[in-house]
Amino acid sequence: MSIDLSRFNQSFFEECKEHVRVLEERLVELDSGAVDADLLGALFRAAHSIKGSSGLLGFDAITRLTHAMENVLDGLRNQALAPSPALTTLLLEATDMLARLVALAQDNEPAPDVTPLCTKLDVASGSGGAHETPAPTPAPVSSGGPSTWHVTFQPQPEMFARGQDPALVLRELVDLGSEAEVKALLDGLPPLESLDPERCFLGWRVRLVTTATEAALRDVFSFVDDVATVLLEREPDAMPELPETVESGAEARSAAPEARAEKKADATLRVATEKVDKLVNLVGELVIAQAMISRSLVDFEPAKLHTLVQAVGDLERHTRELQDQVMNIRMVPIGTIFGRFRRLVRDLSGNLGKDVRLELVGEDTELDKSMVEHLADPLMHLVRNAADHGLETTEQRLAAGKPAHGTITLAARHQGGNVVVDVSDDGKGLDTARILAKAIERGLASPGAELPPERVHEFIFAAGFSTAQAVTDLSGRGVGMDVVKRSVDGLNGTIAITTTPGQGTRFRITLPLTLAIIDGMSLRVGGSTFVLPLNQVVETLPLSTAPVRSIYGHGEVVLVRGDPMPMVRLSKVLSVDDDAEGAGRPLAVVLETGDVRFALRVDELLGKAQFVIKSLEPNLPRPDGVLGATIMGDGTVALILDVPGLARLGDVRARADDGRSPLSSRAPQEVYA
Amino acid sequence: MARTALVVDDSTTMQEMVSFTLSKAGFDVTRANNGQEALTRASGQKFDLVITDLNMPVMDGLTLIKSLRALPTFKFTPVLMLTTEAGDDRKQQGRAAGATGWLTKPFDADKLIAVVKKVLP
Repeated sequence: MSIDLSRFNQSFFEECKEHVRVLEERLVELDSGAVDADLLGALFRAAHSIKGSSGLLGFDAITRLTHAMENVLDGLRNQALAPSPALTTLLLEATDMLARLVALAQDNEPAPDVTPLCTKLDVASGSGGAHETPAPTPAPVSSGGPSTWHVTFQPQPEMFARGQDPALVLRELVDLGSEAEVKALLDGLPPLESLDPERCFLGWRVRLVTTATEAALRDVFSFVDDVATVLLEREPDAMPELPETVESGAEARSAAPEARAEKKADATLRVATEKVDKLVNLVGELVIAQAMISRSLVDFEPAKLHTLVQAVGDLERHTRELQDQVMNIRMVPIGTIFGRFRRLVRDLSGNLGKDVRLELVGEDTELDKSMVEHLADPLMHLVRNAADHGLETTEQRLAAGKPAHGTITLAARHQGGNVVVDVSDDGKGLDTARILAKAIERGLASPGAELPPERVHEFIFAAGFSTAQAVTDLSGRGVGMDVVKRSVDGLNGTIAITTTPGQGTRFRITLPLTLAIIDGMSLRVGGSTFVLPLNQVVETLPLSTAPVRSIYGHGEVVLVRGDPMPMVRLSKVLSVDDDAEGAGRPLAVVLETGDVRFALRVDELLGKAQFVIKSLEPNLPRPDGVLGATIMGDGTVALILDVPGLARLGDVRARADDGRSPLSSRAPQEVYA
Repeated sequence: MARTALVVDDSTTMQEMVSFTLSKAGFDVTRANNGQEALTRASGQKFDLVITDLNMPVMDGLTLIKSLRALPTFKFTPVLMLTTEAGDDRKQQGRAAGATGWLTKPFDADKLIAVVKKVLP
């Protein structure tokens, strides 16, 4: 009932993640030497808060680990311990484990043994032997330590008639323990129509970790033991846990927790009260505007028209503001993922033997929560690549007259309706000649082709493209720049490269603010309306100026300024009837996806606008070639076309004119000189 | 709003001690010298808590408890009884009459507060 503690789990997990983030982001600062009370206080509080709540909710492993961490952090805070890189590494390892424990707990999976790690932490904090088993941690053996009890409390229906409140009894019981888990027993609950609110039909089962004696537990029920069945069972003292050998520090750092975190990422959203207040305000305004309209419609006469027009205007304005604010709810600062890069760069520095510094700019820049999550991986790859290949070794840097430490900058900012994220390094820059040579070797470019450097650099986004001699441990993990490009495409964004030999490289990712609204072009094919994402539309040509030909082996092509380009008809790929041949003034819309361009035949262009994407998935499986649906201004439904899907359906890659489009073979992914 | 308690005892000293302790704990206390008086007060006002002695002139505690339970406004109100000894049969009688809990004399303020906490949120 009111104190089923598991209802607090979700907010506990959220709280944990925030504290873990603090730990991840700020533990690194211990290395900088600028260790102040503020930092240590923040770190200690993070571990301490998790410990407190986890104890209450029964996540034993989390409690034990945070307790051990807390001891170390407390030692640092009291200056009993001195910060050292080794200590930081240990605490980071513990933080990783903590993140993992939280993810496991969230999935209801058993926690691994944290004893080895706790022991290491205890040794570090000097509390190994001296410090007895921490108070909130159930001691496995000692008789004076806490025991786990299973208490069944089944009141008789008449209990209320004695002025008894079972919730008070439960509270008293729970207060005796360091951990408690309360479950309601609903077996006795009659159907609603025969439910008598003056009678108690619920029972409870409580798992309690407590040092209290059996007598003390019995005493809780002293007033109710005649109107309730009370069963006290003591769990046999736990066997010492068997060490699990599969866990190692390296594995604890595996990608699994991240994947889990992402799976659950959208489950809840913490919204600043301020934002909610604004919404409530706006809804209030909306109601007022609506009331004004209703009022002016009573006994309406033409003289009142201007009042009505004004009221409708207000309604429009407030609706638009409301839309903005609702979108704003999903906005989170990009800093939430920037933080983890400090850690990444620290690790990279160590592994590569390079002195790499990370600078973060514009961490407060907000964008859609789901985009922030999806942006993490591509950014991770770009940062990794920059550290591994963009930056020279310390010797090379010194020889080139550069500072010994390389700098990677992550910068985010708003620009118009977009978010721009730059990943730049002050390394050696891309080797244009080498990339071109490789592109020619791979058949991506014709020999002797005169291509501008920007075009050449884009080859690094081709699947399987690499100029690296050897795959390094760090970056050569089968995820390449093509994956980065695809992720960014998936977010309706673009990525551009700027590079200066000897001075560095900058990858600029430009993203829309949200995935829920796209800039689109509406068009008609036959009797149906469709929408194309505007960022994938290159140009439109009347078919009168771009003749259609059939070429053997390539199907229908449209000649764009003399060059053949594969043409796709919705009538073929989506079974939509288009206007009969020759009717109307059909057009070709040139679309681009990844590295392929093709033309879509449409009957009429209707206009450009912003469209709200409505997912089809809850109702039917998403058909290939369709991104979603939208509701047009006149209330009709239009499908939003998925350009990569159309390209697949139309088989345009195979139909492209020659080997100029990049091939999809797999190879190591390095692009730097 | 302060919570209200009805303290029923024929001994003024006892009344004082209980009332004082409850007042310190934030209760608005009404006193009665016996069951009958208590019942009169209870018919005009709802109380959050009733503490009653058992042995009283005019109307004893057990009768009071039974009568209170018969009133719709006191059907679920916590009622504590004060007993001199931890005699089990006394307790059983009290429970059967509808008492929520009990407090054994000698009076102890901390004990009273602890027991009140057991029955009142």
